[in-house]
Amino acid sequence: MSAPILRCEGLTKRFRDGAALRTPLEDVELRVADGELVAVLGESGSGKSTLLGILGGLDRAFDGKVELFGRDVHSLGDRALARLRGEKVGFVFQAFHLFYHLTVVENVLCPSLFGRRDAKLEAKALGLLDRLGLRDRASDSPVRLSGGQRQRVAIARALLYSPPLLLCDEPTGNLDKATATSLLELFEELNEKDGITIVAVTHSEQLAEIASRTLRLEAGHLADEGSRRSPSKDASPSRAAAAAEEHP
Amino acid sequence: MRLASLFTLVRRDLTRTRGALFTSGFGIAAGTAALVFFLALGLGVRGVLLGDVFPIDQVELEPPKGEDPGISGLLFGGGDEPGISDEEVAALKAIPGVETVYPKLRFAFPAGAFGGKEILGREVGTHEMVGDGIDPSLVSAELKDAATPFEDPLPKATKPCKSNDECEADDYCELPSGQEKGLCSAPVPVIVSNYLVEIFDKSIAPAHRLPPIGRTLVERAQGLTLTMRLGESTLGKAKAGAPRTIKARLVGTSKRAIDLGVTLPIGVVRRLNTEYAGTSSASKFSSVVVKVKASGDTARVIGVGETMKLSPKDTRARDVSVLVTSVMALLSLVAGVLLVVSASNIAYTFRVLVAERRTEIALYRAVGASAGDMRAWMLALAAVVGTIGGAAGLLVARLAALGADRLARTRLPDFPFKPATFFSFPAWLWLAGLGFAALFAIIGAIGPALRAARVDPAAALAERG
Repeated sequence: MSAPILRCEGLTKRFRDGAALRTPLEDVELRVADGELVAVLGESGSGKSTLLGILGGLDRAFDGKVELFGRDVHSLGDRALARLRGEKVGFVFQAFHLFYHLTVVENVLCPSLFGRRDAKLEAKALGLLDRLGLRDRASDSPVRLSGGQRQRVAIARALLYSPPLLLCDEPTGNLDKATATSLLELFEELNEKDGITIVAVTHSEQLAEIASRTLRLEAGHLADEGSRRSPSKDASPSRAAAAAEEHP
Repeated sequence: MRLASLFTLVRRDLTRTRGALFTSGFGIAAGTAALVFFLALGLGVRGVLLGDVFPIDQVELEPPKGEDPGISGLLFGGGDEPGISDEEVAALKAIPGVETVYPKLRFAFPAGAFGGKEILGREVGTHEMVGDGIDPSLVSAELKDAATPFEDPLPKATKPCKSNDECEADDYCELPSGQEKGLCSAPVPVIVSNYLVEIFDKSIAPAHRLPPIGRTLVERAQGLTLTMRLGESTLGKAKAGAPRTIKARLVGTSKRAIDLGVTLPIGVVRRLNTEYAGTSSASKFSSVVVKVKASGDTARVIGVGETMKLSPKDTRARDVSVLVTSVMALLSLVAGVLLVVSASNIAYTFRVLVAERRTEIALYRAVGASAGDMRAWMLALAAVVGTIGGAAGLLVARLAALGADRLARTRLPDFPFKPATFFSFPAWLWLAGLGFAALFAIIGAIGPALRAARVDPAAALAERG
């Protein structure tokens, strides 16, 4: 197994909710190797999104150790962590989080406001939209797009700086089955062809079917459910479709 | 974050949130307009009062009045007339901050003067006139365009005479008391104060149905000659010398001329004082004008003068300065309160803005923005709103000033020193107006900017949209 690009040791997250002290994550151990597609399953409210926020360096209020690309997030300053996040991590959310006052291509270019300068970024954004089947919608407002198209715009935005790691929070949660299937095929393609490591938190068994490794988060503890498939290149390109039939 | 990115974010905000930002900017505009309007008014009025009416770049010091001579003094004559010696003038010149010192010598003899027929249509004047002499260099800048130089004409006189008939038409025979022969001299140049011209135009001329005389006319007058009677007046004759008449010519106006009377070159007054009041009246100066490099040096000069028992002749400049500064401070305080209220309005708007954009801020954090970037974004937006509001405020202030000046021109009656404008808008005031507007907007946005930086991105993004 290659060197982990994500590593958690003794990760514990506590917060006060009124009078009660909640512990959504307790002593979590996790290693994600380069090229994996990891699905973290769990019920709603099980702490999946909390885990994803911590893994992506968005939340640093936790105990234990988290290393992102070999760097301890606690030891990084806010600016350094922001730069690491901007250039090496892409986020995809269930709610898309697009800007509806901007055009599709402006949404895709959003990270360039804070990231490194590159004259070819606009061409790259258009190329990504082309790849995701949205080239002709580049100048439209996202308001006029379907849910699946909006999520594709969000994925294009996440891929602008070609990050080696994609963190997805319920990426198919707001989509119908057919759209979700096509999106999962896209994730498979990104993982297998582009070599992007993907960690997705979800309660979708369909997504778990295409994952190279499945973890389950229950009562704050993360348990490895093993691999439902290997991260090999010979996997069937229609696994997502098969999974969709298996989990209607 | 790059400046171009900051610009992009702010530009987008100005478009999509223009309603709320306009409301915030309106308060800033009102505050800036009030501040700049009042400051410009204060500066304008102060400029007129201290520049024309009571110049503050100079102070005139005079010796204490002579002691009461008592009964013996009345019977046998008073003691020495107080004055300022050459040594004291030199000491004043040595004070740091003093640019130069100009001695003044007051008439020590009675005199009267009439003239003005060329301009006014008839002779006007007074049988009891006061006057003084000053160093011509004191007024050289003010009189640089005068047709006749302000200097003692006698050194240039060469033609001997016994009466005016022997001299050229404009000249007169300068024949001091007790001498048999004199010299044909050009008229003695005299200047009057701007104050006297204003008083004449606004009060005396209307009372006597005389036309007003403009300053330009006086300064360029070639033919406005006066006949001065020396050595006697309504109140009596001089103790020495014989009364006689000389010709004088009005060559201009000056802030440094005696307020009510005429001012001559000091050399002429020294000669005349010697003739009518003896040499002692010509050896000590009646006052000195101390010109300072900066108005702040005036206090030091007054302090040193007091140690030499010299006191300021006129404290009106200081009083006026204090009064105008106080009024300006009061009005600026009112405008400042407006700006503070505007800042709190900005604070409220931006707080709402940050609350509404929690998810947007969180997304920016996710794609690579730091907390500092979010702070900079909010502060830059506030600065731009403040600057635009400030610019609008400056425009309003300028238009209001133009309107007020127009009203003053058409509705206010003429009065001495009525200025063409009551306002002064120096470049620094424009910059200060913009600066204050941006500053107060930024101050108002500091709290919301810190709040934006503290937005928990993980929590905000986990919310399902």
